Amino acid sequence: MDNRNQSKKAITPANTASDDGLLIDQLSVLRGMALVISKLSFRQRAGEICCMTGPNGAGKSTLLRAIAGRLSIAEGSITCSVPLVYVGHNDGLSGAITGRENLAGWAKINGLLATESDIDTALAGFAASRFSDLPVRVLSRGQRRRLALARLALAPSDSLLLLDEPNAGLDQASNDSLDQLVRRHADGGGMVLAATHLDFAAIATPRSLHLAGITAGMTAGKSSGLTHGGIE
Amino acid sequence: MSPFLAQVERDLMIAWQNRQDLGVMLIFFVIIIALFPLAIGANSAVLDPLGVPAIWIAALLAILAGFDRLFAQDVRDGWLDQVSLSRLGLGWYALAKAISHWLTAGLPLLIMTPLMAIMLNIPAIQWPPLLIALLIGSMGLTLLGVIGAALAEGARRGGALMALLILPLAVPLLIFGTLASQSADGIISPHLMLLGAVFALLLALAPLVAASALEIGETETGL
Amino acid sequence: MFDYLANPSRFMRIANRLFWPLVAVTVITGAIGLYLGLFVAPADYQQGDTVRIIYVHVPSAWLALFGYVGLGLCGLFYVVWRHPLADVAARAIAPVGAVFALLTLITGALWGKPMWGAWWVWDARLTSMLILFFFYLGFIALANGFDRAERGSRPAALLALVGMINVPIVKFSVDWWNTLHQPASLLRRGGPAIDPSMLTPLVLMLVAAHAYFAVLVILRIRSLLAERRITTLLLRPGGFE
Repeated sequence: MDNRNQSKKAITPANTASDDGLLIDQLSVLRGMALVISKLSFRQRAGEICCMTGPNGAGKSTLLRAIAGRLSIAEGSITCSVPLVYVGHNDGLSGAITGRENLAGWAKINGLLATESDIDTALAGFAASRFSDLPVRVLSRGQRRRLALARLALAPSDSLLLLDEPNAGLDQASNDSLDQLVRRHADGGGMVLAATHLDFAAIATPRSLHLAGITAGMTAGKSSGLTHGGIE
Repeated sequence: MSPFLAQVERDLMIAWQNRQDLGVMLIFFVIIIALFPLAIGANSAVLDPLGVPAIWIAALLAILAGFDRLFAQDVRDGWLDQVSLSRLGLGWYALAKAISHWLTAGLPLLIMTPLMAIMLNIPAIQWPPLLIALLIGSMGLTLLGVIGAALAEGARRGGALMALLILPLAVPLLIFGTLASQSADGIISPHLMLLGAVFALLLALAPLVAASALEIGETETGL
Repeated sequence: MFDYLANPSRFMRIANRLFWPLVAVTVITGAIGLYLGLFVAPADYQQGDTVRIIYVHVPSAWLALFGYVGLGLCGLFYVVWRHPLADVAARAIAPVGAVFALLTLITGALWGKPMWGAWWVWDARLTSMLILFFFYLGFIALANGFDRAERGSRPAALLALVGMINVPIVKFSVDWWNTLHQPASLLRRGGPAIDPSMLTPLVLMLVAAHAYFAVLVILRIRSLLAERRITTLLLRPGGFE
């Protein structure tokens, strides 16, 4: 293993316009002693929506967490010039307080100026207003998911949304809300990278990134500039 | 509202929802103190010198109990992931946790102490140095607990492991604290200075160590 | 220089070359030191033959401290520079240091019984050594306390760093406590006066102990690296065939 472990998360300002966005360069990530992602290279620019597909255990969640800076990187680098918003399997909500309090707290620790009406709008976007003043622990799985996704409406417009199985447990109406939000976000100059099984944002015809296990293969969508990673 | 205060506010709101935990901790404090005369006997000559040390040991145990779960809920909720991506950062988060924990554990203990002092026959003239020393000592213990909780987060026998890590390092606080509490020099004694110095060191160390320990969140469950 | 040494295979080559010479040093200096200490050096005027235990007690104490410093340095290298070898070295050193600390405590008790009439006295140095022993145990427990073995490396390294800073403070506080509570201690400051004829075996035993420490740590590093290599090979695609 290379002794020169790169910094685990390099959030550096963009140098030129072409460096804007997310750049993953020859990334390898270990999980314990096992190689989960091998020499993956990928680039995403403002306005792009990208779906990650692949079997369970292929490394989708791992890649999202690596971009979010929660994993140490064995080789390569990840550079992102915009803020990151991450919604993982866990909802990021405390059960003891209400959905509204959770959302407001999240906005505050991120330094986002979100007024009461901003939060109302975000909640309404996922039809969550009704139960937003109940403690989260009494809510169902799907309701919590909607609260977790509601925070995306408060995200900065240029941010990269990292979504791990966002549609899990959602009803059709919420799925549609999510699609709309994702599209609006991309249209506004943001980026979305989502790991999903389902037919996500089909309307927006996104790019797709297929992780097939240790070999990372790419199904090129609309853009160029994607390279192939293989077994080392 | 600043990110830091928002985190403290959040922790306090959560603590308020779980406010019965406070009662449990206070009863724990009282019971430990009650064990001393029960084990030693009511002989005043033997018991009285042990009053201050008994309060310190009881405070130490009561504050550190439950520390192993300090970060666990936030990890499981996925809140720690959000904090690590936020403007708040893990260091300030750890400090916010220390403050909210002290407000909900250390401070109530401090308020209970005069009552305990009466039970242990500690003369009122000794209360000021005792309370000042406990004030600083409890804050120091809280910071030490944050370090231990961050290091042991995700480990198997979290509670016992934390105790093994923290108790040896708590010795200076205990030594300087008890000496400062019983100081004949009045409130400001060299012991109190040393206690303050250790506290200052822990204040600087805790956020750094906790942030470094919590940085890598391999999986969402923190394992 | 550290990069040079930190490459595992290069380290192993150097360590292997040093190994047998170190064993030889251990055996030779240890044998001579023990012979001189147990049979040739004079008994103490006050304590008689029991003082001979310092030939084991002092080197043990020294190595326990040496190991603790080594642990701290490994922690620093792991946290700051992320050298994987630093983690292996720390895990190798910890049990060895712990045993030396325990040996110090046991020999201290064996020494104390004839001297003070009690198996244990809350002497400042013994108490500090006891706390150091707990610190070693804490490190080992933390490094191995997680379901996924490597998960413990970072917290343990951080603990070692925290210990570097805090254990001296603990020692200082225990000394402070000791001078104020003034328990009986028959050890003069600095320990019993060292007669030159006692110095030679003591130095020899110190050298032997250092060499022994190095031998043990090299053995442990070898086996830890081998373990890791096996695990990595098994986890490679097709590795189970």
